[in-house]
Amino acid sequence: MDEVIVEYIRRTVLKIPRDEIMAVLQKWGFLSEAQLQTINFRQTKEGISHSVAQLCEESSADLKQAALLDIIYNHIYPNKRVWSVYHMNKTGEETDFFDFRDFKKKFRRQIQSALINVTINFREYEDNAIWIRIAWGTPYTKPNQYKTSYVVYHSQTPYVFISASVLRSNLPLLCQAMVVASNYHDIHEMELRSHCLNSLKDIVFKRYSQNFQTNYPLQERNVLTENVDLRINDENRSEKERIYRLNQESFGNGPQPKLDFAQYKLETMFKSDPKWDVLEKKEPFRCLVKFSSPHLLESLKSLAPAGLADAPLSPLLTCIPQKARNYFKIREKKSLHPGSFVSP
Amino acid sequence: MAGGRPAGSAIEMEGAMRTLPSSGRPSGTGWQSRGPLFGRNYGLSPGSRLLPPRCQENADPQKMAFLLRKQWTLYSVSPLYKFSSADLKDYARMLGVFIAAEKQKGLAVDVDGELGIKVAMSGLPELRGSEQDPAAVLVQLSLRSSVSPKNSEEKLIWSGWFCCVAGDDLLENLPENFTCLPLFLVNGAESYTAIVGSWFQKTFDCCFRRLAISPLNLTWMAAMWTGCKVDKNTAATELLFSVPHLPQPLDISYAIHPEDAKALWDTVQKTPGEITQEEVDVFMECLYSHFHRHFKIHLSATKLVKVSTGIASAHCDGIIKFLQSQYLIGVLMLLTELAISQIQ
Amino acid sequence: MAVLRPFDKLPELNSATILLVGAEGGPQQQLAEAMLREKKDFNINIHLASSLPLPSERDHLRPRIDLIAFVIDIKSKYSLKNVQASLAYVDVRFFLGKVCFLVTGVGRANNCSVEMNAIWKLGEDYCSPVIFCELELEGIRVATAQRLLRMLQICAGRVPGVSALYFSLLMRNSAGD
Repeated sequence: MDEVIVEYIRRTVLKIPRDEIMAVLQKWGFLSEAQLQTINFRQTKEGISHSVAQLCEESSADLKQAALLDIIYNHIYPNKRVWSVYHMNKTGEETDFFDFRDFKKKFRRQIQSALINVTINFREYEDNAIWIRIAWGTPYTKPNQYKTSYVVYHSQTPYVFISASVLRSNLPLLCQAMVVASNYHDIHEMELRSHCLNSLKDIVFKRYSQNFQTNYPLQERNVLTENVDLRINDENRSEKERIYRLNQESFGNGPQPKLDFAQYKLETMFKSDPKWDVLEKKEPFRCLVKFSSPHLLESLKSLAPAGLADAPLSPLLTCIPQKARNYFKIREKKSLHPGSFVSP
Repeated sequence: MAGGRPAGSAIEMEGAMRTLPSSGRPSGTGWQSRGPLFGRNYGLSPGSRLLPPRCQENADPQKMAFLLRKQWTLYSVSPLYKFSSADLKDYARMLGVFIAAEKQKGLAVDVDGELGIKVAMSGLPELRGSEQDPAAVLVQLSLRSSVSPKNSEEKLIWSGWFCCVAGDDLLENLPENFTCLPLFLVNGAESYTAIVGSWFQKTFDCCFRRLAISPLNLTWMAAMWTGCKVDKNTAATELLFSVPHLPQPLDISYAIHPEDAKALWDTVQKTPGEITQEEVDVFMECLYSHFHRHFKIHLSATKLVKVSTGIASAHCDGIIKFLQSQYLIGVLMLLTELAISQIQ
Repeated sequence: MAVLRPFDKLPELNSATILLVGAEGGPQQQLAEAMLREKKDFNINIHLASSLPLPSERDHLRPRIDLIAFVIDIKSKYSLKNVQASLAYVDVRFFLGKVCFLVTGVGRANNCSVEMNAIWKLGEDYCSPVIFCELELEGIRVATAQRLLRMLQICAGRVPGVSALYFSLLMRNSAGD
């Protein structure tokens, strides 16, 4: 058992960038300062990980400590995982006082009543965020520490962030445990997913700067005033300013939440210019469109100024933070205005 | 001071001439080989291509099976001097010796250790457009089993094949002693490709060049392949666009249900027996405008980098995947044409 | 006044104006700067527009336009469509030597999204020269700037004995295959 744990700790250390290993180990607090001083941080990461493993073995690190290190690692580097957002509903209005101990007990009990072979660890952080680490086993095998799911729950909110990674079959059990432990009624998955956990929080907690009208004079911007040579006249200056203003209105002034992608399932009718004399079907034209980018919203925001899109950009794209989703199904709206869309 | 295209503008024109060999002639890029300049034009309007033929009898599907669902990197090859399809066994032996020598020199990838590389060359007479085309040639490198050299358990590690499908234009004016196999497809490690390529270049005085596919040619592929009749459930017609020059790069995947895409193409494609540039333009325009209607983004200002349909997929870096054996010859015909225009 | 007309304003003393029309994000700005750096003996005004028609509220401020250069990037089908749509707003008399097409992005054939036939047809239909220039390369940009300046001089009537129409005929005849 010991070697497995020590190896697990070693592999966790290997994932950390070399310059930050010391800081993470200090946060962990299992190894004393004196022990940490004995590690030679000039060697390769492989070497460092072995040194740490050695010390942990000498100090008899147990499973709880190993799990804690993993939680700390994932707390510092949450963007290595994909997070989905879930929303819970309560029947009544009463806001119960949140009892952490009670929560942990109920959660553990709920999961272990269905599956005994699990490792569950909790850690509470300052911003009321509770991090839960679950390592899954099967009815016949011990928990596999490398097959973990993470749950981040802000106790004052109805939102849960889950990174299931493998073993999606355990997801219903996990959701049920959350509902029971937090005294809610039910839980459902929102159509929102991303690598950047903080951005997901920004979106659902409405912590990003939203659209607002700006009446500030345009001299404040330095975007269009680079060209000082008066012999070059930009005929489209006012158009560019209009695009800039509309962009600000659609996206807001501040930094955008960081999303990786947005997916749209289109089931609208195909309409074309009559001069082409093409398809006039009565059934929808089925398409699937996916936008991907390291920072999707910033990318979309830059399209109109770059001349690649009209301003204002389509509400299908600008509504992503407000609607808190990045999966959409678009159908034709049966209304007087052709070309308007409804997204369920 | 000169005018549009004469000597004074040599600087500008040279650049254009070197990279777009046909830009000086009015019949368009890439398929001037089908224009009236070469005498034979099948009665096609300028800028048209024949509809891809569909093989009714699947010429030995097992032999063709190894070509399907693999990623092939494309090269164009200038005509081979004094190449004879009767001497394939000798060539295989010589190439084997060459590879062994390269490994001795330490120039080759030595992951395989002391195991020998076995070279096999064979003809593929089915892969040609007509009797005038030379038969395709397949080169395969296998790793000898370490257990016993006589043991026929060999692991195929690299495949490359030369072919020519409907290369009539190049074949017509070919001097004696030259064999025209302008298209080369490779699957395997780059290091072996370099060795095999340099052997062929030395032995047959030919020249290999990576064959890139322009977005314009990709739109042709999208249109042609969408129109192909396929029996079973087939994959969607997917177009991948890239917008690299933004502060945050953006990729857009636009997938259309194959039945709907085919229905659209069938109403666009009206000229019997051939596909015209105009029809391809209208087809793409329809897709672009449907997209614009929803998202207000001008897809025509972005770069089309990949096209996937049920019968094949192609990437602008010159990578192809065949998915259906029925249309294999049709796709090869198009690729041969692109290879020939790159050689000329 | 949506349509641009060549002779509806009086010329200014010792100056000439060129209008560069091309989709946003193109090399027009850099080309304009290259033109300004060249030595010349007259005043030059450069107007940049992403498409036509030009905003009408600035009509009264705008000088007479002597030469229109449409910029097409063959990497972008959209830039071609943009130019084609803009041509409708140009008075027919401009096409007597006061219009030219600059085609950029020709450096790498792999990126070609526009069919060459369409470009040739444009030049033929509008009787105007088509100049291939890889504006992303500085050397060619400078050479093109010099060319445009020379053409601008002629179109503004500053070269005695050579009119815009005469010059364009000269270019077309030598360009024909």
